[in-house]
Amino acid sequence: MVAVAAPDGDAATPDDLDDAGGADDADDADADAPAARTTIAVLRVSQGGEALELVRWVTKPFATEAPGPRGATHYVLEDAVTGERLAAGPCPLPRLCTCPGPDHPRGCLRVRHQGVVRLKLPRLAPVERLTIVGPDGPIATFTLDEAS
Amino acid sequence: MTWLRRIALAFLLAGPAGAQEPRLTSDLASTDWARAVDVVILSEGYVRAEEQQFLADARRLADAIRVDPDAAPLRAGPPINLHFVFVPGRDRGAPWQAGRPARRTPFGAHVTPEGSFDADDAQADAVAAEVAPDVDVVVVLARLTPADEPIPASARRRWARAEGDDLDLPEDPDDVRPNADVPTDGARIRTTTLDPEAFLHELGHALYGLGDEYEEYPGAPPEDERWEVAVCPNLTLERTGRRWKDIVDTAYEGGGLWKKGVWRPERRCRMRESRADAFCLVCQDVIRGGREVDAPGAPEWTRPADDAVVLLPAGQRRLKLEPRWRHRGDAPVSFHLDLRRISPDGRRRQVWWDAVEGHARRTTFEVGVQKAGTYALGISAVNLAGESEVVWTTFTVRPAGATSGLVGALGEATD
Repeated sequence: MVAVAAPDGDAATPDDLDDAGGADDADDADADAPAARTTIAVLRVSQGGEALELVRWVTKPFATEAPGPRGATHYVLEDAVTGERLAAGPCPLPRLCTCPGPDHPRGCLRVRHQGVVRLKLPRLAPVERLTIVGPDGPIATFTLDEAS
Repeated sequence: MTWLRRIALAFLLAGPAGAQEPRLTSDLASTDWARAVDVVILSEGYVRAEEQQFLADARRLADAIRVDPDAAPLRAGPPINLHFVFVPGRDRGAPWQAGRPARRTPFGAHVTPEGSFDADDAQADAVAAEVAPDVDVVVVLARLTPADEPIPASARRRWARAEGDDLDLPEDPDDVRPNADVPTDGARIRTTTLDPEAFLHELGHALYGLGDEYEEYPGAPPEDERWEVAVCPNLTLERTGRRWKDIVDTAYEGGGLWKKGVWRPERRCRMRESRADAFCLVCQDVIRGGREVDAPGAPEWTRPADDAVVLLPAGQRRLKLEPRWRHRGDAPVSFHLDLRRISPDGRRRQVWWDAVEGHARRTTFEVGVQKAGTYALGISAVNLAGESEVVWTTFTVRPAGATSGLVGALGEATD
């Protein structure tokens, strides 16, 4: 068990417990339909999972698998032009160490203070808005514009 | 495994210091990218004229998957594609001495002052995603500088200090240990051309989330590190081995780097001896089926009930709870628990989290609380395919009269 070392006070965004991030009304029917293309997004995670940076994203010409349950952290994909919700799915993030030191070797694994993950998403619109939602609400939003 | 065809493509890519013209060579088993496992091996420490050397080194690594008898469980699973990405750098060789800065190589591989082999993960993932048709695991394969390279005095001083700090710093290129990130940490391997025998072990981490079964530390894991055992399907904190009783009925003490208090399924396994031995039956089971299962269904809380009231004895600052839950379907690898305090304006702050093994249906925890109020306890089931929805139960902590019962009674929520 792990007690969380955090400054006293409430830093999180308010959210309904049953509707983290307000994403539950994303179109599940669309989310279950495989997309003809896939976006692979490389994300850098820091500050105990509370800060995200989009390092790079690429679009691939193959269909993604239908996304599974959303888990503790999930993505919401919207058409950036129309605002239509396109898909939602899981976005598992690494559990990062919050101690002030450097990364710790742990056998042949690493205890990380900053992580990098790859997220696979269906590609459904020319300009998409990608929002990563944690248990306390949105963590970060990025625009995925194929023209850029 | 049948290798259907071999393709070679070349890409132009704006890269980091020294990186030019990444070139892709793929050995494909399937073009069903969503189902296939795509292993992307990146060159590190090679210069422009050394592509053939890299391909030879990378294929030697890949042979661990293709022909090693101990890799049979991997070959029994989804088809495995191998992608070799050659990215020439300006300098030949990555440094092997601890604390020596990265050279002008594409992914900045180096050994940290603490002795851990590291690289620029973001750059590696970005190049892999850009160049390969798909990517499920990224491997940075580094050719190191030679052992007879003059050793700086600063490195010698660091080694001398490390003796006192009990650090395991390499004193030779052969001492550089490969390492890996499990799937939730990015599914990644950093290795060297000098240690291809360890590749299968590292794939056990990176592709299947298996834990180390060897021992490095005396004693048992401390309380705040027990979750690291819970998330590994081949380790348990229970001497009975109940976790894998449907596969083997044995449990041997020692694993997860700890000599005591952690058990592994069998005496020998590739996850215990990194460079020899077959995978044990439990690891084989994970490898054969782990990537083709569905994400688990969500558990259900049975205690504390939603809207329960938990009495906190006057003057007490410790909240002790014994939550219980149900779960239908196959047991997940682990359950993840998350306790948050809800302030009057609805804002939430995490105060505790934990992970417990997938056969558990209850746990006990005690956490310091600053004040009475409303709390939310979340639980989700996790396996290699993903994580279930998080299910929350909310309860209110109220101070009881000064003569109320013991802290231990607080788990008896009004459910």
